[in-house]
Amino acid sequence: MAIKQKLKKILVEELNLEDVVPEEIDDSAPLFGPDGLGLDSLDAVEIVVLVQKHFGVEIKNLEEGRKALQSISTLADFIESRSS
Amino acid sequence: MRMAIQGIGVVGGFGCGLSALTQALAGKKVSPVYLPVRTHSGEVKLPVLQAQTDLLENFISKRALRRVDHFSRLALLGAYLALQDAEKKESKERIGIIIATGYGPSRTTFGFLDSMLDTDITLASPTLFSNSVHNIAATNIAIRLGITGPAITICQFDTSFQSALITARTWLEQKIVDAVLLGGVDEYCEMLGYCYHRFCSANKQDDCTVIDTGCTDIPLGEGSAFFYLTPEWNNAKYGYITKCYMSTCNTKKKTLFYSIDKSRNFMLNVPGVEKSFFELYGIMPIHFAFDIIIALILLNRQVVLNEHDNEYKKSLMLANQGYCVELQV
Repeated sequence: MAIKQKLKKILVEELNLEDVVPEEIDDSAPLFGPDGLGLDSLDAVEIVVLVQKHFGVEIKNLEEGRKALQSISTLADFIESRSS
Repeated sequence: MRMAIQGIGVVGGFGCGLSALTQALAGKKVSPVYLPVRTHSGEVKLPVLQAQTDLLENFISKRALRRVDHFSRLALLGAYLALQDAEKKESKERIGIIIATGYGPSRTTFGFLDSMLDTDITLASPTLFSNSVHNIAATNIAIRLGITGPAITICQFDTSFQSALITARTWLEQKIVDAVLLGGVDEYCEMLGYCYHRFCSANKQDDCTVIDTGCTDIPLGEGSAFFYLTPEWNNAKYGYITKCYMSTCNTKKKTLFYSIDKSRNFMLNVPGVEKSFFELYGIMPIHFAFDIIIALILLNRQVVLNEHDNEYKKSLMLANQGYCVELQV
């Protein structure tokens, strides 16, 4: 499964987004705030843990997190760059 | 001091609300589901009376519920129903929350521990951790309902609810609060099913008497039973808790696990009449809260409880685990 699809599935299942299906999530939509997926800071911590658990990639600090956690696309790019 | 019961909210394997429990009492069939439990000797299936919380979406949006675990959902639904039933007049600063639970949020507690064992302590889920804290249900109720009075969770196995009742009376007597939202909550999880299965197997195979589980064919249960209580000078919607105390009324030996001894569970103040209603809600540590609601239903409906006694009863005495509670209508 492509990284983006896997990410969407993980987020919906693990963050319990019952009102969203993975296919509905726009790759470039913001993960946080009212205009996108509507996640918050506690979700950010959860995503850091999920990325490490499922992809073996560590988001080490705030700066990395800020860049990676913009959208599904930026997160997938970050995972891809650290996996290779 | 007597406590006036102004509202009741109840959720269990029989359904949701007082009417569902009343229907079950009247004979409507309550059926368990058979859930798999992994054991050292393979998978077994245990009967469980599962409680559904879908109706909670009538009070809170799905999105707002996404981080709320099953244990807190059971508590929230019971609390919302009790408050809706009570048509409360007290200010939210003067309402206290007391939660009684035998094992607390066991699904998330064991889920959190498993997540550390399966991966690493650094990869444990923060959401699972926050939901594994025993006061989480009281916290969720306080936040969602905007109640800012004192909140406490009492967790002492089979005597949690009895102890919580005494705490509620103390708060009201000392005028710490004007009303108490008091609820008993317990959830089923596979680990508890596993423990129950092991203890029962041990009792059967090894004649183990260290822990008296009183194993029977009655399903395990889960649910919540909430009361909105005010001091006695208010007119009570359902009746009064007139007495609530520790005593030696229970002379049988104590159990350390589920108390399912029928003869002690529901003792009426009519000599020779003893009843049990575990079949309606299942085995769980806070069963006493359900028994009190059932007793209130019977009292309010003026059911003749003793076939040898034609008099309607205006009060009932419930005794369990060294605690006595008297109800009056």
